Amino acid sequence: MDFAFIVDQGLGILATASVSALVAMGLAMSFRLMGIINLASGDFMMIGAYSVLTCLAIGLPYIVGVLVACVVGFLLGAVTERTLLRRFVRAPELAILGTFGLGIVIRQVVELIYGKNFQFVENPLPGSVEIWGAEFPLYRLVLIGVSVVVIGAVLLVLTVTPIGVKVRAVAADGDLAETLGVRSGGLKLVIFAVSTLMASLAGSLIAPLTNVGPGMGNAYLFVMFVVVIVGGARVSMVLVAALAIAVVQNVTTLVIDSLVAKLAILAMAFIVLAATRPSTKGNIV
Amino acid sequence: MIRRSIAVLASLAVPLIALSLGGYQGSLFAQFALYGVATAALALCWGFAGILSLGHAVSFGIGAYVAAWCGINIPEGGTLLGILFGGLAAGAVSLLVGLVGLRGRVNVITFALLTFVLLFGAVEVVNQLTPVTGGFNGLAGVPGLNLGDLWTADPVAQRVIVTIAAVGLLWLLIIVARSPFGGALVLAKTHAIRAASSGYNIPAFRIGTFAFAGVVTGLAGALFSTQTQFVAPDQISLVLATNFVLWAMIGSRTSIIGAFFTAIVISFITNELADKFLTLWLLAMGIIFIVVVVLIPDGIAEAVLKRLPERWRPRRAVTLTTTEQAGAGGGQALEATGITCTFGKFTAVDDVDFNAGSGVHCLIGPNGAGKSTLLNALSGTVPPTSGRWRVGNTDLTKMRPWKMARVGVARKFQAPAVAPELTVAQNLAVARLGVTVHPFALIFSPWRADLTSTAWRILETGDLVKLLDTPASRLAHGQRQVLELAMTFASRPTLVLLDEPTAGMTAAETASIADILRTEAAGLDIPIVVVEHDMALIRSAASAVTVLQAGRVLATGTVAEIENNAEVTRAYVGEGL
Repeated sequence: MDFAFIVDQGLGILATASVSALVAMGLAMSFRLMGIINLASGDFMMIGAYSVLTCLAIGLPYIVGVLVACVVGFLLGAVTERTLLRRFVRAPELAILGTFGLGIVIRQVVELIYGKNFQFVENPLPGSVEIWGAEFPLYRLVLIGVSVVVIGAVLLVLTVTPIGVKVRAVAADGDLAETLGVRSGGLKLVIFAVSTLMASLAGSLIAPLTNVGPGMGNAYLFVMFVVVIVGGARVSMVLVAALAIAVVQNVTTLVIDSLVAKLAILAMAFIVLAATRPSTKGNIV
Repeated sequence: MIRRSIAVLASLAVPLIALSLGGYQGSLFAQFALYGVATAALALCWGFAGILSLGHAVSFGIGAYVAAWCGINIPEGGTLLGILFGGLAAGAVSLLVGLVGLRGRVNVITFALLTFVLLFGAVEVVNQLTPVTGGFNGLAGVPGLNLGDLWTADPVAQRVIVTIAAVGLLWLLIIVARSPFGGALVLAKTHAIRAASSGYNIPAFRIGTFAFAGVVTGLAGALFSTQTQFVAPDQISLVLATNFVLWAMIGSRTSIIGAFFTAIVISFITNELADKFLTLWLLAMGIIFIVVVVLIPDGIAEAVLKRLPERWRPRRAVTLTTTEQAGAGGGQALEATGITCTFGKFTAVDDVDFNAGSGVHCLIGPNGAGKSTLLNALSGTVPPTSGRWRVGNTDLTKMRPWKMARVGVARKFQAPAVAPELTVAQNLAVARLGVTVHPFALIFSPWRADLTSTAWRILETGDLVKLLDTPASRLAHGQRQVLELAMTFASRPTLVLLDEPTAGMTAAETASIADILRTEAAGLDIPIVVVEHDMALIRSAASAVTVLQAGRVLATGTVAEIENNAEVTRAYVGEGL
C-alpha cells in the first residue's frame, strides 16, 4: 500500500461523502425545522439527473443542466411544501407518508415520459489529474469542490447572516420565534425548497458517474437515511456522520464486499442509536 | 356488542370464503388473508402504540424465508417447526430494533427511518446472499403444510388451515388492542408521561408490542411461504412494505379489523389491475397514497364509525365500581432533603428541604420560582440532580415514575393529560389498573376498575358521571381537568402531587375541588402537594404553605403566617410596600 493508493482512496471517500453530505444536510435542516424527513429525497436526486439528461439532449451544455436541476429542485420543493406538507404541521408521520406517495408519483411520471431503461450522461470533464502520485479523475475532483463550496455556503448562511439567525430561532422554538416576528411559514418553505435543491443538485452531479433511471434514487436513500439517523438533526453532526459512513463504506467495500459494507453501515446506525439519543433540540449547526 | 358480533361473523366467514372460492382464487384469498394479518399487526403498532414501521415487510419476509429454508432443508418432521422458527426469528429482529429505537423518548420519525434503512439492508441480504436465499430467483419447492410422513395437506385443507390460522392470529391482535394494555398504549401515544405516572413502563410496553407484532407478522409470512410454496424477494421488498403502510392507513390504523379486510380487498384489486397496467397502476398507487394522506388520514373504518348514529356506535363497555377508602395513607409524611435541579448552568431548584404531613400543602411562588420543577423532581418525571426523598418508609429517590405510581405516588399535570381517543370511563380504568395490575395480566384483564370514592366525588363535582361513555376528545378544557384529577385519585394514593389542578375551571368548580381536596386529604390521611396561584383555593384548602423564590424556600407556615410574612410580600410585589 503506497502513498498514492492512500490518496486515491481518500479522495474516493471524500467524493462519496460529499454527495451524501449534500443531500443529508438538506434532510437534517428540514428534519430540524419541520420535524419531518423527505422520503422522496432519492427521487429529487433522480429529477436532478434527468434535468441534466434533458438539457444535454436539447444541446445545452452540462453546466446549464446543473443549474436547471437546481431551479427545478427548488421549485418542486416549494410547491410540495406549500400544497402538501403545510397541512401536517402537527402530524409529522402523515407528512412523511405524503412525501413517500409523492416519491412514487415522481418515479412513475418520469418512467412514463422517459421510459424505464437506463440512460447515460457523458462525462463532461474526462481525464485525470495527478495528486501526490495518484491519478484521480478530474470530474470527481470537481464534484468534491462543488459540494464543499455549496455546503460551506449554506453553513455560512446559517451561522452569520440574519436569515441564519431566524432559521436558528425557528429551529429552537418555532412558536416563540413566530411571536417575535419571524415568519416561520415562509422560512420553512425556503428551507424545504433548499433541501430539495441540494438533493437535485447532488443528482445532477452524480449523473455522469452512474446509470440514470427512474429508480436510481433508491440506491442512495439507504446511505442518506443512515447519515441522518447517526447525525441526528444537527448539521455539523450530519457532516461528520457523512464522512464517517463514507470511510466505513469505502474501506469495507474494498477489503470485503459491498454487501458487508451495507450491513456495516446499518450496524453503525444501530450502535449509534443504542448508545446515544440523537437530539432534535439545541443548536441547528 | 356490534363490534364483537361483526368480529365473530367475520372469523367464521373467512375460512368459508377460502373454501367456497375456486382453487386459484381460494389460494389467493388465503395469501391475502395473511397480508391482512401483517397489516393488522402494523396497525397495532402504529394506531395504538404510535410507532410507525416503514420496514414491516422485513418481519414478513424473515418469517417466509426462514420457514421456506427449514421446509426445504429439514423436511423431516413437517412444516410446523419451520413456521415456529419463522415467527421467532422475525420476533427476535423486531425485539432488537425495538430495544435500539424505542427506549426512552421516542421520535416517531427517527424510528420510521430506522425501520426503513433496516428494510434496505434486508433487501440487500436477500438479493445477494444467493446460496441461502436463492437471490433474485428466490426459493422454489417449499413444501406445503405437512406433518412429515404422517400427513400432508391437500390444497383445500391447506388453504382452510391457513385462513383459520390467519383468523387466530387476527384475534390475538384484537385481544391485545382492545385490552387495558392497548388502552395504556393509546394513552401513551398522546401523553407518555401521564401513562408513566399511571404505573406503566411505557418503553417496555412499546418494545413488547413491536416484538409481538413482529412474531405475528413472521408467522403470517411463514404460513404464506407454505401457501405459495415459493418465496421471492417480493416478500421482503420496498413495494410490500409500502403496501402494508398504505393498506393500514386506508383501512384505519386504529381498527385491527378494518386494516385486515382493507388489505384483502385492495390486494384482489391490485392483482387484477397490476398485471395489465403496471406503470399506471404504480402511478395510481402513489396518487392514492397522497389523496388518502390528505383526505382520509384516519382511514375508512374510522370515517364510517364517525358517521354512524350515536347509538350504533360501538363502545367498549367499562364497569366502574367504587369503594370507600378512609385512612388509606396511614399518616405517612413526605420528607425531601437537599433537592437540587440544574439544567446546564441554570439551577432551577437549589438544595430544597421539603416536608409535608397529611393535609393539603400548597407550593406557591412567583413564576420561575421552581415550583413545577420541584414537583417534576418529586414525581420522577425530571429526576433531580441530587437530593433524597421518601414517603413514610418508602425511599423514592431515583425511582422511575411508573414504579413510583405503583407504590402510591399520584401525579396530575398542569395541562390536562387524558387520552382523547378513549372514553371517560376508559381513561379512568387505564389510570386505575396501571397501579396494581401486572403488565401481562393487563392483556387479559377485563375493563373493570374499582375507583376510590374520592375519584367519584370529583367526577360528580364536574358532572362527568353522565358522560362516562363519551370520548374524552369531546370534553371541554375544564372537564378534562376534572377527568385527569379523578384519574389521579383513581387508585388509593399515598402521596398526591398536583400542578395547578383548577386552572381553566370556574370559580364554583374551583371551590368544590378545594373542598374535596381538604376533606379527602384528611379522610385518606395523606399529603397532597399542590402548586397553585389561586388564593381562594389556598385559603380554603391549605393546611400549610411553602413559598419558593429563585429555587429556594423563602418561608413555610400556615396560610395566615404566610400572608403576614413581609418577605413573601416583597417577593411578590417588590420593595416599597
